[in-house]
Amino acid sequence: MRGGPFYFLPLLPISFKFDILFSMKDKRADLKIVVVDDSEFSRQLIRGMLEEEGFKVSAEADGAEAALAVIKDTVPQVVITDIVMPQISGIELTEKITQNFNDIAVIVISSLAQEHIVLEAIGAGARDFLAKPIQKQQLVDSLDKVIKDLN
Amino acid sequence: MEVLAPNLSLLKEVRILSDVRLITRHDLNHIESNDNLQVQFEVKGSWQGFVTTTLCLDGRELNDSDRKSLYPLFTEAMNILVGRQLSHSGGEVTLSPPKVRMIPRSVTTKGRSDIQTYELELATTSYTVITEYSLMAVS
Repeated sequence: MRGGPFYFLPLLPISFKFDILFSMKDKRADLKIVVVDDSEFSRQLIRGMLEEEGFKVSAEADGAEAALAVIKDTVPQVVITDIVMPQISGIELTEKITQNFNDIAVIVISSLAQEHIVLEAIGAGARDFLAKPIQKQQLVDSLDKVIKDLN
Repeated sequence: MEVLAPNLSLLKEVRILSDVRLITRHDLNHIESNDNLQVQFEVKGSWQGFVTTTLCLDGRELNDSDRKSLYPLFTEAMNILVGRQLSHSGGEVTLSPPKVRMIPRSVTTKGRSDIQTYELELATTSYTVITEYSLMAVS
């Protein structure tokens, strides 16, 4: 009987991890995500990455003003926004979202990843900052963290 | 205002997608290119001016489907390239949204020190890309 714990104890964390993994993947499809980028190519790229991993994009917007209207309609849990956009930047959009919609997590993406921009984004209320080109795993990890916090 | 030659770090390779990458070219012969697509970015902050990027088409026949896939890809690739270069340049800058110019313009790299050349590698073909830097360092 001394061998019992030796065989069973290592198995417990593994099965526990599988449970977390499966429940996480189940929950991905329920997450309401809005993607904001003036580049249709970029929006399609993000949508493709997310759908490959079991997420669904609820809506897209090609600018900040359109995004605010879409957010009011869909009430998402996550907004993924580019910074460099005409008229209203992604930083200003982030500020407006965090001021008006307390429960929405904003993930900011940008090709320009200087420290002052990252700090501006975080200061505006962004939850995460991802540099372009976006690495799929980074995006997935960021969204999985949102799911964990929601639960 | 102090005028300096741009000294942006030259990126050896940028992978835009798994099957699309930009790699530096080191041609001994200069490039003269016509019938191009241009995308320009305005830079403000510690550096001020413009970065103009050129997709060298040189009379290549593109159908509507090619254009619809290539032009947005090129624009986003340049956004990533210029953004990453400026991110490594030091100082604080902001970048404007890309302005696409469909007007054909010829470009030569002969005797130009303000130019870097890249190859945009797609799954089946590749295009030469010329980047021109008209930037001043603001002291």
